[in-house]
Amino acid sequence: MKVLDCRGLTCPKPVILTKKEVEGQDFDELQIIVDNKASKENVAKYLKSANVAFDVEEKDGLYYFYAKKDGDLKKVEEPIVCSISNAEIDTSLTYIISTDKMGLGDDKLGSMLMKSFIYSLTEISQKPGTIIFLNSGVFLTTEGSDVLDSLKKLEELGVEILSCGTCLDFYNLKEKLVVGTVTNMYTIVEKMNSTKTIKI
Amino acid sequence: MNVLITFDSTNFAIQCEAVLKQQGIKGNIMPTPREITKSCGISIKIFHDDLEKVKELIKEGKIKVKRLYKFDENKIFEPIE
Repeated sequence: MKVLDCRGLTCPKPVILTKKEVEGQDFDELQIIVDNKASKENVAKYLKSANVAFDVEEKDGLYYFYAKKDGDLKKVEEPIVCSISNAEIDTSLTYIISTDKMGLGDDKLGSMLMKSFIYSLTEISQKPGTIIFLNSGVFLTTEGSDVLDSLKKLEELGVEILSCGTCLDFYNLKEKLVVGTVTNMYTIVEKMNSTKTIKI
Repeated sequence: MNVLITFDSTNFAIQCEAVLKQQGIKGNIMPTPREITKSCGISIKIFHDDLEKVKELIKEGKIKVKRLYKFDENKIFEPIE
C-alpha cells in the first residue's frame, strides 16, 4: 500500500496531496499519516466527499488513515477549505501585505492600524489561506515585530505565512525570520494568478 | 484572564502603547470589541497579572484610559472599577 506521509505539514497541504493521490491513475489503497487535528478533520471531510472508504486510527499523537477505493469516486470541484471548530481557512483567498503600516498618512496611526488588523484576523472566522509579506511588510514577521503572537496563532490554525526573500535580504532580516517561511516572486505571482488576492 | 484597556482617543492609545513598551509590560493592540463602543476603535489587551502596574501608571498620570475591562476566552467584558 502506498503511504502518504504528511507529518510536519499543516492543513490544507495534506488534503491537497491526498486529493492528488485519489485522483491519480492507479489509486486503489492509500495510507495517509497526519500529525494535527485540522489536517485529520479535513482529510476525513475530503475523503467522505470524494466517496472513498476509510478508517482512521490515532496513535502517539499521529493519525493514520487507511483509504480504499470502494465504488465510483466523486470528483471534488470546490476549493479546499480547512476548517476546525470556528476557524475557516479559505485557500482561495490570499492577502498581500506590502507594508508594515496600514493606509497612507501618519506612521504611528498606520502601525497601530496594522497591529489591530492582524489581531482581528486571529478572531474573525474566515481566514485567508495565505498571507504574503513583502517590502516593509517583512518587519511584521521578523524579530522585534509586535504581531508575532497573532501570526504564530494564524500559522497554527493553518494559514500559510510567507515572507519575500529579496525583501528579507534587503533589510538584513534573513536570519531574523520568526514566523512562516521564505518565498520568491514566482510563488507570489502564482498566488496572485490562482487565488483571489487582496493587497494591503 | 486578560484586561482590555479602552481610550477616549487614538492618540491616548498610541501613547499608552509606548509607555507599556517602555515599562516592559506586554500589550497587544486590538480593535475595540463592537459590544463595548463604536467610538475610538483601538484598545490594548494586557495580562491580568499586569493590572496593578497599569493602575499605578494611570495614577501617576502616565497613561490616560477610558475604562478597563476584565475578560476571558468567552469574551464577556466586565468593567473594572
